[in-house]
Amino acid sequence: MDYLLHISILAAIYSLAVLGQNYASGFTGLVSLNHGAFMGMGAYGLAYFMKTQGLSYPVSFFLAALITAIVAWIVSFPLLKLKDDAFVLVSFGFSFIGYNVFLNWQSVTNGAIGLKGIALPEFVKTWENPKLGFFIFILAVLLVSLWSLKKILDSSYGVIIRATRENQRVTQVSGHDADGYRRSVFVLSSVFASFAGSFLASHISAIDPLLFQYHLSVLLLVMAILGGLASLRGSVLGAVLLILLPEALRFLGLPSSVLAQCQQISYGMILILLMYWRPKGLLGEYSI
Amino acid sequence: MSLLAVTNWSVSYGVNKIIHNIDFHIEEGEILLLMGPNGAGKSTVLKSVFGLTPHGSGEMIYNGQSLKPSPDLMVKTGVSFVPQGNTIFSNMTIEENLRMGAYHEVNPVTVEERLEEVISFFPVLKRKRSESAFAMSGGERQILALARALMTSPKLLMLDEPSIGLAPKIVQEVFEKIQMINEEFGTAVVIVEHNLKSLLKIAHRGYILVQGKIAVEGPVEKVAQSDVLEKAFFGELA
Amino acid sequence: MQILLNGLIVGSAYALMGVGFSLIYSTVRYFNLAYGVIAVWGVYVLLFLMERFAVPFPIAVFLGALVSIVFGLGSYVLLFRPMYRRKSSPLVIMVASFGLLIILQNFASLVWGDTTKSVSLSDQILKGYEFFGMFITANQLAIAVTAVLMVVLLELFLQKTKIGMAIRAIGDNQELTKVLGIKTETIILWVYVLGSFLSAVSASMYALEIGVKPTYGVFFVIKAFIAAIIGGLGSVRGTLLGGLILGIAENFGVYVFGGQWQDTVAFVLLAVVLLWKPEGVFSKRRLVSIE
Repeated sequence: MDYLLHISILAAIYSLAVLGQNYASGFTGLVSLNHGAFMGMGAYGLAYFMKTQGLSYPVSFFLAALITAIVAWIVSFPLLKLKDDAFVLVSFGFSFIGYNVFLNWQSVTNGAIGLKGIALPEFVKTWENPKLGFFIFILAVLLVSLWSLKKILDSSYGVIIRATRENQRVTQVSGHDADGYRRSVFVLSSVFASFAGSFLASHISAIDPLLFQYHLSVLLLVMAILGGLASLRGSVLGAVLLILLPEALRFLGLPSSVLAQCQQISYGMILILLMYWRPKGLLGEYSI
Repeated sequence: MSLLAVTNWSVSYGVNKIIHNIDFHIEEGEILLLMGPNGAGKSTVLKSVFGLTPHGSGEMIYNGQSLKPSPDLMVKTGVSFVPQGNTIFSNMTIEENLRMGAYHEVNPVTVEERLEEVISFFPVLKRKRSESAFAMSGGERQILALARALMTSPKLLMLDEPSIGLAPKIVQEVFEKIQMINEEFGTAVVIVEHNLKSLLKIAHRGYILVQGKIAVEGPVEKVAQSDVLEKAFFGELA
Repeated sequence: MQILLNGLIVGSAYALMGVGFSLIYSTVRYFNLAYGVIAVWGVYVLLFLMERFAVPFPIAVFLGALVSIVFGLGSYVLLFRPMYRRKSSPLVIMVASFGLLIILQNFASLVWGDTTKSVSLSDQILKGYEFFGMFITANQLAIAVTAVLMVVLLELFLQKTKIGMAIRAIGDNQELTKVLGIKTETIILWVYVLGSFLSAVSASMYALEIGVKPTYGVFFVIKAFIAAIIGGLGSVRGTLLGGLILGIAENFGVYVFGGQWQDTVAFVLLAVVLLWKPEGVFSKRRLVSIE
């Protein structure tokens, strides 16, 4: 039961993160490898503000998201100037830089040792099964996020965002500040990732830089593509499938020493298969 | 016997039939004009005969042999194609551009000889032979493309809108060069063009293509006077 | 000044890596991210041959490079060419190449292990040399000499041979090359051979300094990519200079900011170049356009 709960929490957390990823990549065409770093910021932000500054959970949570949003906003200026493949590669670089910051900013992140003892939100601690309460909370946040994203995408704002994906120049010339719209999407997507990162930090209670290397960004992207770009349900599907994958591998009886590599190899194969057969993913409506 | 003849030739892009079962031929040593309004399919005819785009039905006989066209084959049997627009290697020297034209020639001595022969025919190229082609003007580039096409000693030159983007005076020079090539080397030339005024003076025969079908055909004087030409260009037939 | 020298040495390895990558890009017009991991496999083969069969370093490098060539050609024929024929976009092919990178990198991890393995020229300890108040190790000398040798050979190949000219032509104007009836397929195969060879040799040489581990697959292709962007994609000379600049910038960055920021310096440099002069500092033409 505990194990099932653990998996469910992870699935919910990653769904939230992939929502952000898909929002940027699927709906706006910003195939980004930054979001692992954004998750890291959410995680470290929460940990730092709660532990080192003694702030409450909600305050730390939103402060971390705010800082992530600001960083995303700043980074978007150079980033948005780039075309598809250049954008991907530089955002990949960004996740590298993020990892380096997590590793080396000793005073805040405690370097390679990481931060421990990150707590769950106060109100779930009073539950009989705090983890269950936490799960329900995350689920609630996830559902609210899904709902709000749907509302955003269905609005006229959403139409313009999709338009920038199809043809930036035309949108620009039609009098819309295409860059501004994309920036707003990028920033909002980072906030989702930050939320997910903060939840992750609480769930596993100890974080270190190795969690937030480029592998995480790649995983998020694969989840988004697999589930289907530009599909809200696809984001959840992709997250759930790829959370279950390592469990399936373990089930096959593979020795734990090779588990990590086999996991990665499966991600690689999934990527190749997707790109070759179905770049749209399972439920997606957009292909990169 | 014609140098090149196609019969029942059709070309389709997907479900759209662009060229509708036409017959046309080119005689040795003649300058042939392919005219017609925009979208008539002139470039498509040229490209499909050269093998750059696949053709649907039809047979092609070149030099007495039935051929299935591909650029590789056509170049080796003495046909050169100068496409529309960007026709040179900007990051190579003029001489290298010309050498690329003779890529298929295995014998290096022949290549050198041909290079000197061709380059002497174009003084402007001879002067700048070791310079990069990057800084060349539009007219010079077209001359270079022509010269490169001659490197294989072709029997047939195919030119797709050689005057595009060029100033009238330069167009004049280019067309003069084409005529010189035809007279000096006996090379047949098929030209797809819009810019007809000057060309009508040097061409021998012409076709007017309208919506993928041949509307008029014959000696250039007859074609020039046909009112189909006028109608085609003033949009009544397009 | 020592920093400058170190930077140049490292830079020459980057330059060579970059050139192979740049050549492939200019011919096929997509980024092949598996480029670096192919080289890593070549280095592992090199190590294997040296340790198990006592093959001398230069021969082992060559044999390792042959393995890289096999990987490179294989990846082209089995993955990239079919995708190209299916009209997949360059971005999609690049992402697929990334998938391949992950697979090959993790296979290397399974087969050879994750620890960094060192590579040396021979069994004996070789002394370095001192000149003009700077010190150069035997390894560094080897790297520099090999790099220069490779560059000279490459230039000769590109300028003086027919295939070399054809490779330059395809990078210049692929459509026109087809119009001239040249079989571009064959040329592309040659470019993959050449690129894989260069990547393996440069990785092997650089391994003298930093050894080899599976994650270097990503590392190498990133450095190659950055060198190529700085110099201008498709420009061999530009990429060579780009690699040198990268090496020097990194070394200075490490000196000023500390070793842990090495990669950051590289990426910041990349971002700066992409924003300021996306066609490359030395290129005359636009290859990477920005919105």
